[in-house]
Amino acid sequence: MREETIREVEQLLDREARLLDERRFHEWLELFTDDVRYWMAGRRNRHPESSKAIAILDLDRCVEDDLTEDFELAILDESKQTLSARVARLDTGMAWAEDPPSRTRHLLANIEIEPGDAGSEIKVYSNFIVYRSRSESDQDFYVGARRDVMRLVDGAWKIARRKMILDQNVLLAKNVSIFF
Amino acid sequence: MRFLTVARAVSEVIGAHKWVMKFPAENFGGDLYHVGWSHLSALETGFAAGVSTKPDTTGSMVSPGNGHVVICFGPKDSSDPPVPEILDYEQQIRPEVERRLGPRSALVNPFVGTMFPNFSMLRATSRTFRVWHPRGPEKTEVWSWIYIDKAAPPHVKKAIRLAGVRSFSPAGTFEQDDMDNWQECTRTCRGVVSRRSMLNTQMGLGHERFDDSLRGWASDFRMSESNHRQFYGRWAQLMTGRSWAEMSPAITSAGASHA
Repeated sequence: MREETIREVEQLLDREARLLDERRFHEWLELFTDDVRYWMAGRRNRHPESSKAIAILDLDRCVEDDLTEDFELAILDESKQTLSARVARLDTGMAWAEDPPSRTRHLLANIEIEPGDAGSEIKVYSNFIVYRSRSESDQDFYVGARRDVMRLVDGAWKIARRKMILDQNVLLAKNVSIFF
Repeated sequence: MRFLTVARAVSEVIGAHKWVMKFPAENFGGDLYHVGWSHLSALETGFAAGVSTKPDTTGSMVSPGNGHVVICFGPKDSSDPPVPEILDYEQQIRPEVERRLGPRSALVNPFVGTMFPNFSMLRATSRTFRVWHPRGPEKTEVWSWIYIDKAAPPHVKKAIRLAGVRSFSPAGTFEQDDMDNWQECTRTCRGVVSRRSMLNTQMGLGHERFDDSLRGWASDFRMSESNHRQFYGRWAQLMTGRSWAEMSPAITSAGASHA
């Protein structure tokens, strides 16, 4: 991977984090392609197949993978259109979960880039810690990983797919009213 | 129940969401008046189709007794997902649903309800059911699923799943605001002054009747706390510690429903 590409992607991710923390959601939306799938999965609580704690009666039905699958209930499963509608909803002045707004800080690390499946695309891995505080003393930590696909559109990288993994089984925050 | 408008009486279920919130059982059985204010942002930005907030909307609070409560629109009002694939499909299977459930299913359009004490279903913009697990004072853990007609084609199943995720889920454009409201209500009730006050659930008192065609208690007007009285009336009855035999039959007398 070219050094220049790595720098461009890092800059894009840092800029995105700043746009989110500054609640510049309309500018944030422009970072995505029109065909984006913006998806956040939770994780199941599973014993491994080798565990002696359980008796597996039917090995064929045993699923070791603890990640929500594509066709299951995700925490977020959005298109560009529904992401835009979510931003429009925040603009109504009646979106109570964000009124007064959450204070967020998006911290990114472990950025890694691989060639993508198509020539104009790359795969971008990163980890996130998102701190949210709200009202006087509410606070939540959302910790997880992103698996992005970025595409070169008119000379600039855009996010064409974002798959996020939130490292919790029972969601410990009361809701998810912010973006990642 | 008309909640499960499925073609062959078989549903499949996808899930589950699990997260933490507060006092939802009452909300799902009686709290119609919060919709037009709590959820107006989502209603105005296209996350629901035809959820009736207009003044002449028809509907009724209905309780078949034993604390079970359901909120119904009239047959011509609805609260469907804004998704043509879902609406077209449900229109298409309507004759079969009516044949299976009988003519009573055409009397009202139930869209949200609680089976006493902690199992709720919701059709408004979603197709979901949930169990509210008490987790100690001021804390409830939600387990939520989406139900889908097993006979539906894949594109309809996908549409139902996405409509649910996007409206009623921890990040749902409707439900995220509910959690905020309920947390603040709970906090407000902690104070000394609010603890001294009685909870007022008199809305529509005396304007409910036993409806023979619905075979349940029904409010005259769609905004009423008649279901709150049924729900908490049953709870108060169970809290007296009498035997099951003494607490039967179901609450169907006016006196008990006003407890």
